[in-house]
Amino acid sequence: MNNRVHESRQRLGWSQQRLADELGVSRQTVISIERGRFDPSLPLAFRIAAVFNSTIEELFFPDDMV
Amino acid sequence: MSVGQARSKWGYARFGTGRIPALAVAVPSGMILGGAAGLLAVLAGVSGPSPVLGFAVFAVFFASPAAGLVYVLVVDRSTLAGAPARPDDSVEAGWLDKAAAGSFTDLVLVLGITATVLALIPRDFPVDLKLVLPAVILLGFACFGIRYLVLRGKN
Repeated sequence: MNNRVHESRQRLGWSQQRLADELGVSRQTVISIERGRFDPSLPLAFRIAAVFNSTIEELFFPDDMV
Repeated sequence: MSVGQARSKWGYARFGTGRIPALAVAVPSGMILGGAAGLLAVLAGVSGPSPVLGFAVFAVFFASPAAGLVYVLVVDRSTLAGAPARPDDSVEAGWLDKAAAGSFTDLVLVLGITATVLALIPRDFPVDLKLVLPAVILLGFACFGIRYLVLRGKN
């Protein structure tokens, strides 16, 4: 699954640690999500969307979608 | 500063509304449990020819793991510096699950293949369970550790 977490975080000027603290997860989790190597659980995806004032559909999309 | 806000490297143990450093509970408890294990070894007659030396060896080697176990049981992880609030959502939880599942498969495979091979060899193998069971546990730990490190390396 692809995502726009990295771009969204950069837009806010947050570090990976800041986002991890906001989400209550480890920094490694943020790194893995941004690299597309870890698909977050649905509750975590909702929290990510809430942090960026966005929706899950705007942040996460299947690999075959650009 | 409230109880919920204070964090430290080794964390605190909560008792009712109070709290004390987790190590202040774990280390003395480990020493007491180690002493109890040493005493038990002497009473059970497995401490060797020198009861004092046997007591000391059992006490020393039981104290550290016992202290570690007590620490894990009493520490309030929300008081550990740097501990994420929701560890179950972290990628590390996924690695732990995958490593545990994989190491179980490894154990079944290794033990199954070994049992099959031994069954086909027309010879008896007298084994000491005191060695075999710890070996199986160590194998499980090794499989789990290697798998976890591989998963972490891939990320």
